[in-house]
Amino acid sequence: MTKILGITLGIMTALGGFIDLGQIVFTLQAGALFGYALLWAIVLGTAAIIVYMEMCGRIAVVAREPVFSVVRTQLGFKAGLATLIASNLLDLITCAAELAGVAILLNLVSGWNEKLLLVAATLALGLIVHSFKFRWIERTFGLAGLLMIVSVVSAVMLHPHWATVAHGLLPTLPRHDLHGALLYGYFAVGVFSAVLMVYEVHFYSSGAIEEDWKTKDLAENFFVASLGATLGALLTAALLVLGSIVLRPHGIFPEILSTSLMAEVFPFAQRALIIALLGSLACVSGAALETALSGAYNICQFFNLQWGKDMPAKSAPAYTLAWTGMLVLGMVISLTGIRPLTLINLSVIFGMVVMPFTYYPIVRVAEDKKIMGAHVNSKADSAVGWVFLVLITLAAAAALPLMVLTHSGQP
Amino acid sequence: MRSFGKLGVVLPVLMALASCGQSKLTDIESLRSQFRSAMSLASEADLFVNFVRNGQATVNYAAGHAKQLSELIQQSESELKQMAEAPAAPAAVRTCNDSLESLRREVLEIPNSLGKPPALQDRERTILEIQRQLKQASASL
Repeated sequence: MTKILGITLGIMTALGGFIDLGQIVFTLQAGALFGYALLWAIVLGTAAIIVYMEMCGRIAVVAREPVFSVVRTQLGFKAGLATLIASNLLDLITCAAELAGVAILLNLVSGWNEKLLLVAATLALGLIVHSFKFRWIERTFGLAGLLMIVSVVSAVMLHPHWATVAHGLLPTLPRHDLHGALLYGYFAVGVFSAVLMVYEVHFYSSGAIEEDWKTKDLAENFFVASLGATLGALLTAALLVLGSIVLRPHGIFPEILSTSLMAEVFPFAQRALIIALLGSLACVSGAALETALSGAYNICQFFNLQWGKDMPAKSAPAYTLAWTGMLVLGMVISLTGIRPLTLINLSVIFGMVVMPFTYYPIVRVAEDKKIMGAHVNSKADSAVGWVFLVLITLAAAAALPLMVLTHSGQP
Repeated sequence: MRSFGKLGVVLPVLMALASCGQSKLTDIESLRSQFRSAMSLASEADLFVNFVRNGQATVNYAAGHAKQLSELIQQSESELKQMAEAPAAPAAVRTCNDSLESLRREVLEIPNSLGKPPALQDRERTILEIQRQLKQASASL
C-alpha cells in the first residue's frame, strides 16, 4: 500500500505541472484552433519530462543533490543566480495565476466573492503546507486531481475520429497562411513548454529527497515519473480533443477557465460538472502549492540553506519564509486584478526560455560517472537527454519571437 | 556562461515588453480579428445558454460563468473603443460594438433565466440574431 501511495509524488508533480490553469486553457485553445494537429507536442513534451524527471530523481537519490544545487555547481554562481531569479520569478507569476484560478473555481462552486475567496484560499493553502507532512499533501492533491479523469471519459464519449487523432500524434507542417503558421508554431511551443515547466523537476527532485528515496528505490523512480507523466499527458490530450470536438466546430476560442469546464463535461449532466470543478480545484491548488514550494526549494538549495517540508519551521526559517512569501506575494499580485491568463501566457512562454538552463545541468550531472558512479546515464539515456535539450533550446529561441508576432497567440 | 548571468536582468525587462506587446487596433486586419473574437464570444454565449437549458449547469456555475464571460465581452468592447478613435470602417465598428453590448446584456440575464425554458429560448434567439449581425458586418469588410 505504501508503495502504491508512493506513486502520488509522480501523480501530483505531473497533475500540478500538466493540468494547471495554463495547461487547461492553453490546450483547449490549441484544440479549438488546430483540431488534433498538436497532439504530437504533448507526446514529445511527455517523453522529455519523463526523461528529465527520471534523471533528476536519480541524481537526488544517488548524489543527494536537488536540481538547484546542480544548477549552481554546473553553471557557476553568477549564471546560476540568474537562473534562480528567472525561475523564481516564473514560479511567482505562475503561483499568482494558480491562486487566481483557485478563487475562480471556488466562486463557481460557492458563488461567494472572488477576492475574499482568494484570500481565504491562500490562507487555507498556507495552513495545509504548515500543518501536513509532505507525503499527505502529495497524496491528497495527487489523488483528488484524478477526478479530472472525467475529461478523458467525456472525450471518449464524444467519439473522436480515432484515425485523425492518431494522425495528430505525428508532427505535421502547418498548411495555413503566415499568421496561421506562426500561431501553429506559438501553440506548438506553448503546449510543449507547458508540459515541461521547470517547477515540475524542482518539485520532483526535492520530493525524492523529502521522501528519503534510496538507491533501491531507483526502479520505482522511473515507474513513478513515467506513470505520473503519462497520466498527465492523457488528461492533457483529452482536453485538446475536447477543444477540437466541442469548441472548434462553433469557432469558439476559449479565454476563461469556466469555458473549459463546460467543454470538459459536455456530454454529461450536472454531477459531472461538480466532479470536474473539484478535480480542477485539486489540480490548480496543487499547482499553486507546487510553485510556492518550488520557489522555496530553489532558494534554499542554491544558497545551501536548511530546507525540508517536514522540518520544524524554526529549523528551516529561510525555507518557511520563502514559501510563505511566495504564497503571499502571489495573492497580492492576483488581488491587483491582472487576468490570470495573461500571467500564464507569460509564464509558459518565458518558462521555455529558462528551460535550457535547468535541463542542461541535469544532463551533465546524470552522465558524470564521478558523481553518479554505477547509476550514471547509459549512452542511450545521454543521447535522448541531449536530443531533447537541442529541441528545448530551439523552442526556447523561437518562443519570444512567436509571442510577439502572434500577439500572445491571438487568432 | 557569463552571458547567462544577464538572464535575471534581461528576462523581467523582456516580460514587461512582451506584456505591453498586445496588438494595437489600427487597421482592417485588426478589425477582422476583433470580429472573429466577437463571433467567438457570441458562439460561446450560445453554447452556454444551451448548457443551462439542458440542466447541466449549477446555479453558482451559471452565475460565475456569466460574470466572467461578460467581463471578457466588456474587454472586447473597450478594445473596440480604442479603434473608434481612428475608425477604419466606422459602420462595422458600430455594429460590432452594439452587438457586443447586447451580447453582454443577454449573457448577464442567463443565470436569471435558469429553470425558465421560454426565457432561455428567448435568450438563445437573441444571441443567434447577434451572431447573424456580426457575420453580416464581418463579411462586408
